[in-house]
Amino acid sequence: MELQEKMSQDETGGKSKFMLWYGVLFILCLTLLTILHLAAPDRSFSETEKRVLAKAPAFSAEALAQGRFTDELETYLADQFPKREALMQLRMRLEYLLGRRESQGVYYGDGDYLMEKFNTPGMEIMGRTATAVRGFLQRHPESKAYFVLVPTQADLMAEKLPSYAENADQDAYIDSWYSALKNEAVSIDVREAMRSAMAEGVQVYYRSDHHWTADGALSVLDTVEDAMGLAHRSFERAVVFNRFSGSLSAKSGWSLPVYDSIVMYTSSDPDFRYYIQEEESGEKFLSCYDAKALSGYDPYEFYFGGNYPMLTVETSADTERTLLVFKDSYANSFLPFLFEDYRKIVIIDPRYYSYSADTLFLLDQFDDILFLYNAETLAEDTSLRKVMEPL
Amino acid sequence: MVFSSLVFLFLFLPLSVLFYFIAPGLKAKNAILLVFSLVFYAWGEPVYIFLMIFSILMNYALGRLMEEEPDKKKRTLIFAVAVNLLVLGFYKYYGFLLTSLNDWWGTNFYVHKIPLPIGISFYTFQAMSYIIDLYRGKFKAQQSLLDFGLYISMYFQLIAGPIVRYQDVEKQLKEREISAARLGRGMAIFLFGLGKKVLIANTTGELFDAVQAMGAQVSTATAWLGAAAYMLQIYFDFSGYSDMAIGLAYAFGFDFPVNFNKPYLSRSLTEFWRRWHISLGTWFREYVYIPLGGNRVKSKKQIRNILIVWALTGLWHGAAWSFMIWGLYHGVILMAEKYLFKKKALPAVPGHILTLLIVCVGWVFFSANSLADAGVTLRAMAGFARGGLADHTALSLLAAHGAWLLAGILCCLPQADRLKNAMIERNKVALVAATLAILGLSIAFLVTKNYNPFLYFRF
Repeated sequence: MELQEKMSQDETGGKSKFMLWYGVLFILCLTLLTILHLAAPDRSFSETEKRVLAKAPAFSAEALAQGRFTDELETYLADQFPKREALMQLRMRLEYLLGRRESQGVYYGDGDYLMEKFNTPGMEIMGRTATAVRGFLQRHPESKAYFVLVPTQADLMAEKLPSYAENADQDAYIDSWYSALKNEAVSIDVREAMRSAMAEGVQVYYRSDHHWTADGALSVLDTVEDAMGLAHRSFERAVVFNRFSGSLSAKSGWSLPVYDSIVMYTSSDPDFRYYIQEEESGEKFLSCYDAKALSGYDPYEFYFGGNYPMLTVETSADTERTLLVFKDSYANSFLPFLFEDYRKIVIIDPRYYSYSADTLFLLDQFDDILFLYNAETLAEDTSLRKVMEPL
Repeated sequence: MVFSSLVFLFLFLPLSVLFYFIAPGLKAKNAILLVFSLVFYAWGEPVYIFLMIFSILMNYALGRLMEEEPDKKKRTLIFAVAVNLLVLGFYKYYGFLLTSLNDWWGTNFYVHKIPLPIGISFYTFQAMSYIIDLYRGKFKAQQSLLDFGLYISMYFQLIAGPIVRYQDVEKQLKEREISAARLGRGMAIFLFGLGKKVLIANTTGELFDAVQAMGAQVSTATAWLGAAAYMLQIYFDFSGYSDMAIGLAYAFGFDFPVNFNKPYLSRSLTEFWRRWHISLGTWFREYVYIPLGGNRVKSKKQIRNILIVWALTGLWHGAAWSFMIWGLYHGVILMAEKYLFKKKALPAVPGHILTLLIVCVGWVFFSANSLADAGVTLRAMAGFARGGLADHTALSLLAAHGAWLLAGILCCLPQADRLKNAMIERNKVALVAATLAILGLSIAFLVTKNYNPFLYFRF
């Protein structure tokens, strides 16, 4: 009642002149934004969200009756709103100032590092996968097996996480894998190598993406070469892209004040040659680096052009040694470092490969088998088990 | 359509203001407003719009019939009330009734899922207030179908109240001040309501949803956080909507009664219900409690009446047992205040704290998906939580959402209300600054509500 009384007292006097303008300007302001919205051409793709944006919905009586038209119109207005990205950052930065450090399972760590939360892994899933891997390796004793499980940011950079962050023990998870496979595979623990690289100032992880950097991958090369009995090599480094904003940025909604860089390492031997065959299409590539990806929706696809079910690399290396790899996308920036050590490398990404890996041994034999995963992917993965099962 | 949507803010609102102010004469303005109101309703309910039109036509015709045939007045009233209640009952309580029968007596009725028509509880109650007060002779029947249709369907209050009694707007339908100054003040009231809904209710709602999604795994601290978040969410959501409705109505020349008057400052539950959803309390008092005999009957009957009113109030909020329990819970405590502690009002601080606790526990019933869930939450709040007394999750949630909780709490204080009124009354610079901030942030929050990254990165 109070408000109403005040309202009616106030009809006269100087204030209502201001109120007159206030109301008109309020409505004009909304109208102006609508006109800006309608006048601006629609965008088809959002770089930050990496998705196709909604188009103006087509009107039909049926769509209207089902409520589809009205929902789609609201989505269209939101998707195509002028300065949508800037408004998103306004919101995310405001919430950051108010203390928010978590969004969609991504933490905003100290020093502008985004890190994915490591959820408590399902040990039952792990047990079943480990059993399948052991069985597979026991069926192929002629090959020597190596197992690399790379920790994610949330492990090695845990001190940058907010103090209350929920973060399961990744080290324990990695250790339990190593002990589960201790009889069948050589476990290569890369954590120390990565830690000392970090201590030397190497950026081993992207700030805005969940992968390790190529520099991070290089930091473990010596350790891997020693374990696998390979010669130490050096590579030429070149920064190919310095405006990379990755998956964690897209997922959380936080754009970082600094961009990441994408780095390419190439052989220092000018005579070394290789080609890669994508087995599904039979397409051949002369480089494992895909420059087109740098302008695409996921610049990390620069490495190998993304993930394929099966790739075969044939090299000019002066050796008969062959390698079979089971991997996730972390391996994409690492594997080029091994090209000069093998005549042939078969790379299987179990997430897309739907056969038993035993089939590969019908035609080929492999001196070495390498498993290269990051802990986060493996903790949620069920595809490796299927590939490891017998024919 | 809802007020806190982009379609409303950027298309519907400017267009309805434009057409309304251009239209010459009150009759044309009423017609424009009716058309926009029907579009507003049809936007969300393209099919049930016909149900609302039926309700308008029926109540209009029965109202006129009552006046033209005074000797059949009572019969017409009973018929009108019965049909209104049947329609409401069918669309709102049919599924609930059959499910309960199946649960209790082992019957095996097939329960069709009938989606609830938006706002049916509100407009049916408005129609009934018209019919009942007409019977009581408080006013003459509305002769203009246009004006009657406008009363029922006026888009400001159509989907979330306040429940405006016909007697409150009867005169304004025929005569009211329409001016740019009223538009300005109305928009200012609307703006603060929008901020309440988008900035505080939606953000505290996110926290509540996060806690609810954890189910039985919560710690005591987390359960309390969730309860506090819901307490703020429901108040800012509901009262924000009411403020937006009151502001819009004001802009178009109507004076709606205040619906929420700082309820969380109450020192007793009795006071709380004088401040919370005032138009609903008024409705139940006028059309249920007083006709049952009100305070003028013996206390035994009074107790029965109070229980009836509160069971109905509970059910009005939703067709589920948890709502009825919520209503009866309030009814029982109100009776205790009325009969047991009649003159023993608590001192200020314990009074405030106890009232907030009572209301907060009530909201647990209100917000839970089932009575069993409410039990789990209450047990957790009482210290018997599976997740222990406190955990990292609670801290994590508090860090992520605490600022909005705090903002919500501050906005419940009388100082916030005074500040808002001062801005609307005198402080032009502060009002312009607040407008830019609230509107800008609200748009940012609405536009990014569907922030929906394509999560390619696992593959």
